[in-house]
Amino acid sequence: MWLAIYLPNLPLQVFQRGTPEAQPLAVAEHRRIVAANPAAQRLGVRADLGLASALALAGVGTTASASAPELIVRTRDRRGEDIALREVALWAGQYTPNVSLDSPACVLLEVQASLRLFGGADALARRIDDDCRDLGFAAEVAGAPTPLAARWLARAARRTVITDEVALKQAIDRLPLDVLDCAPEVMEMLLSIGALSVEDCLRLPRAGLARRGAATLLDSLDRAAGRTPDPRPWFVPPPTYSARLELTVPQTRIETLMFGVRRLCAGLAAYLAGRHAGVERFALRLEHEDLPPAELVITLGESSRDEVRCTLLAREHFARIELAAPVRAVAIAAKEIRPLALAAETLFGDMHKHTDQVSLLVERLRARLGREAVQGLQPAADHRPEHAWRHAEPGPAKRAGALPALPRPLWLLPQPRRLATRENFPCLETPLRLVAGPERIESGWWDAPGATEARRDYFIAAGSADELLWVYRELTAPDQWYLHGIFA
Amino acid sequence: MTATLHTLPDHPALWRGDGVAAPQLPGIPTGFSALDVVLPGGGWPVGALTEVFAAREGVGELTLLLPALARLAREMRWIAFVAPPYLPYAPALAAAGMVLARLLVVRPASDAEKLWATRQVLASNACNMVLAWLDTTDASALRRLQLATEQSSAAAVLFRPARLAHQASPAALKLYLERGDGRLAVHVLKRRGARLAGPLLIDVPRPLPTDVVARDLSAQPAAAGISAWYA
Repeated sequence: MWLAIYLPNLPLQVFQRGTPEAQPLAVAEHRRIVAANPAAQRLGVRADLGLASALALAGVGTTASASAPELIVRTRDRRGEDIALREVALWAGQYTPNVSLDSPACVLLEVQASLRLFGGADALARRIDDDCRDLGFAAEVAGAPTPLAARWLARAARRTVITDEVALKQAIDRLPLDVLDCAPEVMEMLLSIGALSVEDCLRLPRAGLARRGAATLLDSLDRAAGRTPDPRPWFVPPPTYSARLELTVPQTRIETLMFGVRRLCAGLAAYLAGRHAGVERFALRLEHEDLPPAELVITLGESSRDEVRCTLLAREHFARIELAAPVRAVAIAAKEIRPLALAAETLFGDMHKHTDQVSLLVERLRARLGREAVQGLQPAADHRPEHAWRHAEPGPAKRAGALPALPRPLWLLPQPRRLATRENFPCLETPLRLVAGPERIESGWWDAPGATEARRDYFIAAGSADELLWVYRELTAPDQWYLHGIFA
Repeated sequence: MTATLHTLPDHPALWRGDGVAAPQLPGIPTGFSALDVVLPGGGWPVGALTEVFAAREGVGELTLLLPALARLAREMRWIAFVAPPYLPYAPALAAAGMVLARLLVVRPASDAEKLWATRQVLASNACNMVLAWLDTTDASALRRLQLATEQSSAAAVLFRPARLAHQASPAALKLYLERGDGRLAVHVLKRRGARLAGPLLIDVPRPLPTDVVARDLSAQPAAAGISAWYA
């Protein structure tokens, strides 16, 4: 059982999938229009038109066009089409492992083994049709027992899934000839003798057709009907993921870029789902017109293939950056693809889900505020107060330091603040009362001399509002008092 | 007639001014029973903003929160500090029973980012208590924060400068803290319920005066004085 995903107007689609609104767009190759979207067709631009006539029709460059949306003509990007087709093939790996590329615009899936899981061929075809929109592609999906018949049916936009031989023969017979993609001279020959559909062809004498150069056509008809075998090479997914999305016109707005990024993330998530894998980070490359591309690395906090998480974090990264120039294309790349163990649902509690929420929160905050701005804390074994703690990754601590025996303030000043003194007593606006102490801390002499060595007497001091502060004086300079902490 | 009048106060549609409004969610016990009884929900309000104003840094404003924080930590809950004014000192927090492994310290640079980060923490439902130090006077920002809190199952405690204590705010609970009689005087400026007559005096743990109480330091010559001190 084969399903064909045919991408009609792929030359157009590669330029359109990244932007929500449809501007008049035409794709040209060798100065001739090969495809035009409906908006462009309304301007009179259609395939096979010369580039100059198309531009004249759309009034590009004349004052008359000021009010009308301007026609955009892009040069056909065959490599981009090939990349897009591969992206669809990678994406389709979530439905079946047996995927075959059928260039230029079709992906074939052998789905016999997946039918039960997805509730039958019809349901699967509908689902593929729906899901494909997340990627930004409009697809025609059709099914048949042979790959070629499936492609032809999809190409003819017959949204059917055919399972038995008799129905297959009938369906093939009714197909118009142009979906068969045969050579132009054969096509011309057939039209000149009045054959318009496959049925007309089959009625003609076989030997005569073969003699008139239509041998390949007969061969394809045999393969489509299942009379001769039609082996297909399987598409082997690469070990790393990459996809690229070209924008219709260079964009500066983050919202528009996010539209494309969502589609790229949908592709990545589907690829990972097909491999039962996850990634910890992926990269987005923003390609500019003249400047070198900018790269954003998006860290997911933990191995994941959650599309929502990917787009969410990408959005945070975008909110932080300044676009140097309009973005022409966005590419996504994920290198370290790891198998992802599925979390089994526990009977009680959702501890795993909760940890997941925390790691997502941490990554969201870090994406916007920077990595350093979100930290955990950990006590450290050192007598010097400023060294008795350190930043740690949020989450379970490796080891806990010993707890201090004497009171410690909840706030520590990042830098001890020199206090004014009055008659050798420290002052903070008003003189401070020393209520406890001293506690001598003399440590760190082994560190670089002078830099971090501490030789101090600590006191707890009370201020005018009876607030408690942690102050010290240097042993070497007892008249110099410093504020080091607050008992908040 | 008289009977009707007598039963009137028991009418379910009538709210009596001496009561405390019942919140939708029980609060997080503060660890101080005197405080718990006056707070609607019996603790730090969950799903509502609390504002704390300290007369001066160091009166015990954070210590007042510690029993609740330690309790949440024991229940494997996460806690976030957003924009603390100083370094939260790990040894002291650990000594007070907080589990540092489930503490998130977020240090945004600007006021807007502080508000944003607080909202994110609330919206994520990852943390059960958020302590945020905000200087903003932007009323609409506070309202957005209150809305975010209502959507979450966390308690949000904002520490704000004392000069803003009497400004109108959407917070459900406002406390003003100062020292009085050697204890912490908690003025409940606003709660869902009737006003309290006076401040509550609460014994929050303070570092006790230990060995040596400072004597007249000035009497001793500077450098030599230190050795004499311990001699």
